[in-house]
Amino acid sequence: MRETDDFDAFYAATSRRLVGQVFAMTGDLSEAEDTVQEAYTRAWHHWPSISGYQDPEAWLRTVAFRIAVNSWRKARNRLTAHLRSSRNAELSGLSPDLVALVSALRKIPEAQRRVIVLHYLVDLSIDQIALEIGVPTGTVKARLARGRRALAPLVSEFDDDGPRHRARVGAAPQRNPEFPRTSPDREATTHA
Amino acid sequence: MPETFSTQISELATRAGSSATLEEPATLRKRGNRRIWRRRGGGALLGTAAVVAAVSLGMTMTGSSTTTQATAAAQTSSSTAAPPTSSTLTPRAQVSVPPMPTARGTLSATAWAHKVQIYEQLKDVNSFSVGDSTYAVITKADYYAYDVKFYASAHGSAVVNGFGATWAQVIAGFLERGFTNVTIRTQASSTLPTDAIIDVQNSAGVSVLGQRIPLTTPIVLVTAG
Repeated sequence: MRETDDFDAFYAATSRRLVGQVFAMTGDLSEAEDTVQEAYTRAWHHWPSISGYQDPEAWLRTVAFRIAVNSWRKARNRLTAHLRSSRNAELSGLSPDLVALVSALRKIPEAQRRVIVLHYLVDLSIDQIALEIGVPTGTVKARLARGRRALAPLVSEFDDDGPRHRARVGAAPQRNPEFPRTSPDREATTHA
Repeated sequence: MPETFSTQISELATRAGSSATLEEPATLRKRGNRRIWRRRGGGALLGTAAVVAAVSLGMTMTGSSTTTQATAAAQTSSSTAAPPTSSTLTPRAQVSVPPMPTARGTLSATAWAHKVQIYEQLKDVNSFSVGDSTYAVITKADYYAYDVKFYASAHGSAVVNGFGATWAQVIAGFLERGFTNVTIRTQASSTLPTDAIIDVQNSAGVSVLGQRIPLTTPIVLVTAG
């Protein structure tokens, strides 16, 4: 059945990438696995529509992030994660830098963490992030700035809110070309 | 060369992704099918339960086709045993509604109460139920982000609008699900991104979100501009 094959192929191609993104958000592998699987279950429910989207992965990511931050879900997942505590040991081989990064990410507020992940991991521009999470671009910029400030003690490139970042903000990745964008110049000048 | 933050966080995500233990997609599909089945099957099962209860109480249905219609309802119910795999329209259970009970006669108080209750249930099954092909309820979904999503409940909670959908896809989604007249009106917004859907209204400019409306209602998608 074509619909089934499409879904399975999409799952095979994107699920692990999505787990990585949710893990960066939550810092918990078990929770990331559960969240992503729940998102795909919901996606199957609406698959005839979702498969026609220009970027179905963005839908999955949005749903997965929402599930991950749902407090009830988090509480339940913590219990599940506790019961499956051995699973996190699989990532125990991380370098001290990466362990510190996970720890630092978990300490910043969820809203800031989300834009940091979308910008630096998923490689979305500010406009694309605004579109994906449904907030004005100014809010995205503010959250990015605060997130970078919070991570600055760990990440040297955030110390002075460096020029590398400003360049990135102006260079919007070529994804979802239908989405409206503001002028890169305006973004660069208004960026915190 | 020192690692950048992007490199570090990418390495972290890659490690997590490759270490993840995930279910097979077939398992997730099966889980999703069970949910769809539960959602779509409830109304038909209720209808069947009402008919069975009505027969056991000796309630009189109007018309000579009572038996056939009750059987049809039962068949609709039994057909839900196989979980649907897509959002195609589910046939509505057709149940004949008896006249409004007006006289208790020799019925006990309990039997009378049941009779009235069953009448109401049958009325509900006929007026708006799973797979109703005449009406829809458009609501905002709560777990999606930017784009406002709508469900046309008449077609099994199908998403009509989705993240990244073009306007052509949005309108086609409504039309495919039975709406006959869909237009777009732009409205200035200082808070929402361009093209975000603000509301769905009827031709009189009144919001129809959350209301049961005939599919023939001309609907206007009010978008931020």
